[in-house]
Amino acid sequence: MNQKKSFALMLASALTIAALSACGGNNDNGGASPSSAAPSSPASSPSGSSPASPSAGSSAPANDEPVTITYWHIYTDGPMKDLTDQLLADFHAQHPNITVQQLGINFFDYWTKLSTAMAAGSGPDLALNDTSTVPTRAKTGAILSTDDFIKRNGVNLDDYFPVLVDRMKYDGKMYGMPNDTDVRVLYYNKKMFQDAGLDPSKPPANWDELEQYADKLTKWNKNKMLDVIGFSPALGNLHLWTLAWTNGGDFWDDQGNPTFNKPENVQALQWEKKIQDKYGVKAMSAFNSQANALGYSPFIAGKAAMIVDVNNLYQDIKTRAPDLDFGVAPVPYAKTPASWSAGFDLELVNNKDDKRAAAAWELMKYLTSAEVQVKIHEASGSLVSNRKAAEDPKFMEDPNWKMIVDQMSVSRFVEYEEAMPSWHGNLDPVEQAVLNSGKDPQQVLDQAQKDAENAVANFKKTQS
Amino acid sequence: MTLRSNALLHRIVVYLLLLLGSAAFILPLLWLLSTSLKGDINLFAIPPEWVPHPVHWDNYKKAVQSFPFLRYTWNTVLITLLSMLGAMLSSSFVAYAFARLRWPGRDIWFVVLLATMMLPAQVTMIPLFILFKELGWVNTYLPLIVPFFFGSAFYIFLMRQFFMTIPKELSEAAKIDGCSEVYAWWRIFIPLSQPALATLGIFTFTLVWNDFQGPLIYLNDPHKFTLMLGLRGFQQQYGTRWNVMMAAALLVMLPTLALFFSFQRYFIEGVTLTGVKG
Repeated sequence: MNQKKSFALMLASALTIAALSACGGNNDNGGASPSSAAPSSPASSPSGSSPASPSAGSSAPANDEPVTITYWHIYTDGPMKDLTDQLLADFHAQHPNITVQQLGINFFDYWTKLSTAMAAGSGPDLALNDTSTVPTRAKTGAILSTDDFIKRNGVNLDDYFPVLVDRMKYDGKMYGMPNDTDVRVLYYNKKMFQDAGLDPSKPPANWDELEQYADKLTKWNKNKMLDVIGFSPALGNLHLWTLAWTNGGDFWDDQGNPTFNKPENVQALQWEKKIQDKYGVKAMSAFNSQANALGYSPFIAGKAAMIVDVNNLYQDIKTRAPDLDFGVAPVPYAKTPASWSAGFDLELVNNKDDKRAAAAWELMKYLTSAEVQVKIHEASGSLVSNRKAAEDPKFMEDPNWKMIVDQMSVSRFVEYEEAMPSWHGNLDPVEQAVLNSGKDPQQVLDQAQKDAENAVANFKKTQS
Repeated sequence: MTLRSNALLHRIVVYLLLLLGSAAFILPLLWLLSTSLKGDINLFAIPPEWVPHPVHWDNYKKAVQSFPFLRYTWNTVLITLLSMLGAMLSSSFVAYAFARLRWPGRDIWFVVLLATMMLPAQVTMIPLFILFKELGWVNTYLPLIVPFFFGSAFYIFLMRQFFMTIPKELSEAAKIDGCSEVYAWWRIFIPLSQPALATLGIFTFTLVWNDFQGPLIYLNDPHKFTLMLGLRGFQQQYGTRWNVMMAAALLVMLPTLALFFSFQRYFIEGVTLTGVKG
C-alpha cells in the first residue's frame, strides 16, 4: 500500500518536473559572430530575378562530369531564403553538371550542426562560416586552401575589403573567400539635434563632443525618468573593445599576451561609466524595460538620440521608420578612428574529394562575384565583401551607405587567440558589471587580465 | 459548525492554490494564441494586448506555407511512434530482469545503469555522431529511433520501481503453472503496469516530438526534417517573425495537447486504482 502510494507520488512529481523543465530550456546561445539586439521584419523588397549574367566563368571543373555538392548556410526565412533559391537555380543553369543540395539552418543553431558534422568529417562541401575563426579550421586541415583556385581563375583579391582578405589567411595562404561583414557606426537623430540647437551636419567626432551632445540631447520628465537618452554605451552594439581601440587601446600584444588592463582600455571603461552614471541605475532600468518591450532599437523609436550600432540598423530603419531624419557618422574616437567588424565567409570543407571541392569552388566564386553580391545587398542590406558590389555607384549615392562603407578602412576584427577564442565574449559581462552594478573599471579589468593570463598559461601547458 | 467552516476554509484555500497553479500553466498558452493572431507591429506593446485587433488569421496560412508542414508532420509522427514503441518494449523488458530475476551482479549493474543518467547528452554528442556516421546512419532516422530500442536508464528505473510493487505471488503462481519469464513479462507485468507504461509513453512522446538537437545534427536533407526544425527556421540572426512562428508552434503543439488530455484521465485512473487496491 505504502509503496504504491509513494510510487504514485513519484510519478506525479516526475510529471511536474517534466512540465516545469519544458519552460526552462532554450537559452539564446549568443555564440559566434555579430548578434545585434534589434530584430527586424524581413519585409524589404527582394531583388527582381534578373537573368543570370554569363560572366561568372566558363572554367568549369576539368570535365563536365555530373557532380553533386552540398552547401550549408543560415538563410531559412525572408528575402535571403528566396534569393538563395534563385541564385542556386541560376548557378545550376550556368553549370548543368553541378547539382547543389542546399541546407539552411537558422543562425542560432547552425553552429551546433556545422561543428558536429565537421568534427565527424561529414560536413558539407561548401559552408558559410564565421570569419573570425578561420585559423582553427585551417590549422587542423578541416578546410581547404583556395590559393590554387584563386590563381587559376584569376580572381582579384583586391576586389574585396582588405581587412576581410587578411582574416581569410593562415600561414600566408587563403582559406576560402569572405562573403559579407558588418561594421559599427554612430547613428544620430538630426531632428533632435536641431531641437537641441546642435548642428545636424556636425555629428560628434570625439568622446568629449559625444558627451557634451549627449547631455544636451537627454530629456528627463517630471518623474525623474528618461524620455530620451542622449547616448548610452549600454545601448546598441558598442562593446568595450571597440571604444578602447578608438583610444589606442588593445587587448593582446603581438606575442599573444593579454593586455586587458592597459591604461587606454581602463580609460575607455571609465569613460563609459562616467556617461552611464549620469542616468543612474533606476532611470536606466526603467528605460531598458520600456525599450526591450519595443522589440526594436530605441533609436528607431526616438528614445535614443545617438546610438552606436551595426550597419543592419540602417536596414531596420528603412523598413520600420522610413521617415526618420537621421545621419550616420564614424564611431567617435579619442585618439584614433576605429570600428569593429565580424562576418561570414565561405569555406571549402575538406571532404577528400577533389571533384566536389572544385565544384564547390565554382559555387563559391559565383556567390562572391560582384553581380551576385549586388543582389545579396539588395535583398538583405548586408555589407557584402566584394567592394565592386558594396561600393557600386548606385549604392554609394546614398551618403549614409557611403559613410558605412568608408568605415571599413578603419574597422578591424577581434584577434583570434587560440588560447582564448572567446575572449571578447568574456568581456561583455565585465563591461556590464561596471555599467549596471557600479564596479570599479580598474579592478574588473585587472581581474580580467588575470583570468586571461591564466587561460594563456593553461593553454601553453597543453601545447608542450 | 466550526468543523464545517474549517472544512470550507480548507476547500477555499485548496481551490485558490489550484486556480493559481492552473493560471500559471495556462497563461503561456493564451499568450501563444494571442501572439499568433497579431499583426507585425503590436507584438511587444506595453501594456500587453491580449485580444488582438484586428485578428490576423492569415498568420496560420503563412505558417503552414513557410515549410512543408504536412511532410514534416508525417516525419515527426513516424519517428515519435517508433520511438515510443521501442522505449516501452525495451525498457519494460530490461526492468523485468532487474525487478524479478536473480542474477549475479544485478545490483551493481543497476547502479551502473543509474550512473549513465549523470552523463550530460552534450558530452556524448560527438562520439555518438561519429559512431552513427561510421554505421552510415547519418541523414537517416535510425540514430533517432534505434537507441530507444535499447532502453534508457530513467525509463528502466521507472518500470523497475513499478514492477517491484506487483505482488510476487502473481508471478510465482504463473511460474508454477509453467509460465516462462518472457511470457510472465508479456502476459502479467505489461497488462498490470499500464499506468507506468502510459507515463513512459507520454514522456517519450514529448521528448521525441519536441526533440530539436537530434534531428538538427543527424538530418541533412530538408525533406527529412521534423516540425521542430521547421519551427526554428523562423528565427533569423536579425529578427524573427514571432507571430507566424507562434501560429506554427500552436499547430505543432496540438497533438501533444490532445495526447495529454486523453492520456491524462487514463493515467490518473491508473494511479488511483493501484493506490486503492494495494
